[in-house]
Amino acid sequence: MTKAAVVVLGIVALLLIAAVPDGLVVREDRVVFRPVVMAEDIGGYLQGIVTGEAFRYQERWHTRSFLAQAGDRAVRSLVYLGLSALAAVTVGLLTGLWLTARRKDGIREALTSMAAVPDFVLALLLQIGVVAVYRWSGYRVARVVSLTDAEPAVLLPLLTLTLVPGISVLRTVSARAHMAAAADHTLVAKALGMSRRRIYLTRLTPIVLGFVRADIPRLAGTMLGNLFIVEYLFNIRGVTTFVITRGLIGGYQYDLVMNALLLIAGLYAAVYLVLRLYLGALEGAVTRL
Amino acid sequence: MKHGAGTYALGVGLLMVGVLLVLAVAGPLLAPYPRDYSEKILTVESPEGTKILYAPQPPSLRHPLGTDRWGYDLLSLIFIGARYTVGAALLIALARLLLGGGLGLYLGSRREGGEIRASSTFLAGVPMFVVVYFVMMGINFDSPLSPPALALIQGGLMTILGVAPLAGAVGNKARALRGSPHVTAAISTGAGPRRVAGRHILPLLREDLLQMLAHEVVLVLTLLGQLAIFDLFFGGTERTWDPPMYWTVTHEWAGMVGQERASIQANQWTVLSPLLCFALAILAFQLVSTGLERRTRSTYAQHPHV
Repeated sequence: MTKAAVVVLGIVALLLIAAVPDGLVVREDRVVFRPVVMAEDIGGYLQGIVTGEAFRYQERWHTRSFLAQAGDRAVRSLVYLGLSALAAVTVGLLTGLWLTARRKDGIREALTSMAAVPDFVLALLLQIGVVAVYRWSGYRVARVVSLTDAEPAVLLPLLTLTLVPGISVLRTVSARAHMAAAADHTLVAKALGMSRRRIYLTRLTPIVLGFVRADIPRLAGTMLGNLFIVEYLFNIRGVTTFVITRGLIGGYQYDLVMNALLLIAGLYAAVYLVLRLYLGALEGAVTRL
Repeated sequence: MKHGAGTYALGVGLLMVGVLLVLAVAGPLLAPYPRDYSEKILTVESPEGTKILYAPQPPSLRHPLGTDRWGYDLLSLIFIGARYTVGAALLIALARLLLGGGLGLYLGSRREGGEIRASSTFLAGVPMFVVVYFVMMGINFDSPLSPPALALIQGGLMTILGVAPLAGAVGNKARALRGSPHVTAAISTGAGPRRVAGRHILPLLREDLLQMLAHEVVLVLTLLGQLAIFDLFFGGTERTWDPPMYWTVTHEWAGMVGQERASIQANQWTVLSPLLCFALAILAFQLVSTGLERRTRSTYAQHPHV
């Protein structure tokens, strides 16, 4: 499938998904499918792009401009996502290689088993833990929610956004490093007298980086899912809160949700690009050694 | 890799899953208090005199996990909700495995070829729970439909969305096995695709399929939890306006977490009790999954040279 076809199919899929809440409802004890209403939503949105109406939304009693509000939110979401994506790959890569090299199988298995811990469980446990520490010691380790944009919660959201994908990277790295360390070319390098550190740096790391690079789409997708949870639980005014909080509570606004979904697709592309560039730079640095 | 580590994880995981299954089947019968029993206000006689206790009550001998704000015993609610948590997750995972595994086995055993790709790149940026949320939001809130009907609709949707990745995973494993000498020998002696799939590939996939089932339960539970954070509870969400809150109709554990998530600052046990039960359920199936995975890996283990 060409890239243009992927983009077109993606937009069509988003147009349809965003219309489902209006198209599937319960009336008189049965589920009713209303394709006409869905078509009206989509048609109205496409028309609204031309007239500019598609970029207005209702917030309580005020009509607001999506374009005026979206910029700050997109930057905020991108900062959280970008920082945690870089941290997740770095931490996962270094820890995975270190644990494999040191044969710390017990720690590695324990950490990779944590990959199953869902983002929301981690976020809630962190919040409860911080409150418990505050009650016990009077010391506030971190903000548990953002009260205003000027006082954002930073540490806990970044931890949640980093740990879940970080453990996933660690899992990939340790599994692939273990396989590469058992391969014949590693034995050849060892027979040629290369040191253990050099074999890990110049032989195993490029192989592992290739697998992490191949895993970027899944990683970016996971992180976007995490972003929804994190922004909601930590009360961060990012892009995803347009989709769930503003779009859905107090009446469904198709245009707003559709615009936000397109922006989120853009965020996905941005995170994908950031990780591609970062891993490309790492691969370049390793091959120059 | 030590063989014992995988066996230990598997043993502990299976034990925990066994307990969860008992709860899923007989939870309401084992609950210490009936479903409609609540202690909003309780008068207790003590050496210091008569005490009046108001709900929510913290964990005590009378209520090991405490009570919620309406005085309902949390342990009883957790027992009652096990069916819609563990039971539902297991059934959805099983349905995914039957459909996805069957499709994968069919595709993988037909003919040799490249990798079977089951992901939709054009929807890579949309999390699965957003799709389920959008489909269910017009149906699930204050619905006139019964909890089993709502569970069936949501369960069916979650099954359909999980079929493709499983079909891809099983298909690729089946395709790899199809190229092995014993299958080639069977085909050359005239075995048809159905016989190849059923007699020569499926038996070798048994352990993988069990591991995938346990992993799918973890994925389904995670999805239920993510939806519950946004107040979409499995089996139905009821809304009240004074106070503005969302309630789980079935007391499924993720729903209990979702409805009480504002209690992280006060009365923490009301969110912590269901959250820990939910996390333990995920841990149980994850232990089974990793235990099976480690057992397979230890059988074919390669040892690093450096």
